[in-house]
Amino acid sequence: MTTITATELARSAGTIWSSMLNIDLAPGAIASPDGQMHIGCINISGAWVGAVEIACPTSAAREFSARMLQTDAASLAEGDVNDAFGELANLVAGQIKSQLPGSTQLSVPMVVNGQQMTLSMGRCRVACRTDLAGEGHPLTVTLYAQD
Amino acid sequence: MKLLIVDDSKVMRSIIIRTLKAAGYGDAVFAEAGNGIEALKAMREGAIDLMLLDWNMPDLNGIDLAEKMKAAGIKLKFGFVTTETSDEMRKRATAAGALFLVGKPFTPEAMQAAFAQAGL
Repeated sequence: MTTITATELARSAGTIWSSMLNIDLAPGAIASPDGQMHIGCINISGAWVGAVEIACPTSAAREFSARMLQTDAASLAEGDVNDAFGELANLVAGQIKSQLPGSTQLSVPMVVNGQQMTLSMGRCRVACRTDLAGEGHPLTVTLYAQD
Repeated sequence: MKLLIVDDSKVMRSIIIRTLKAAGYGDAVFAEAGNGIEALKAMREGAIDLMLLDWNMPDLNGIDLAEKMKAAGIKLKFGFVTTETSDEMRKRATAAGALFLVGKPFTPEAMQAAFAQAGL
């Protein structure tokens, strides 16, 4: 059983957004799942099994990716956004992994985008979730755990 | 100095190169590879002074590449730049011959310290 809380999840994401994007994250509203969304996911295996998911509107994913690459959002190809968003998920998962018990391994990132999406995590349940915002863009971070 | 950056993310490779330039290594020649197999090909194509390896990559990941290089007697200075920073991973990296392990996210100062560890 993990003891990671939503506060620690927010702190992990905040560390990455601050260091890689120079964006401060704060508590925010839940991102509407009705529009075009980006979801990045890293599976965790080993002594602790689960996943870390980051999700936001595709427009926000594009802005976050542009900040990461220090370029204009309009100049980014979709592949660049997917690549950058996957790396952000990987970096957040790395922060979470350091707080998990035992020996664990991270998967390579998976990124999907589309409308009205949710990811099914098999036998995993939501362990904790936090809704954040950075420079007006919503971001939801979720930790899944297998019982 | 020729540096080989091995990471499956093109974005992360560009960030590593940007950080290395900020750390004072802007005169280096940068080669890139997206996984261990591409890294082996790049090694054959030219003399590499230092290889920076990601841990988790498809096809041939960083630690498997490092262990194969050690088993084959390939002498090349390398270190990891990865989210895998546990003591267990550090020990495995060191056993495979890695000179350093820099955790992501990283700073120019962390890269300078790593290069100093590698004698560069």
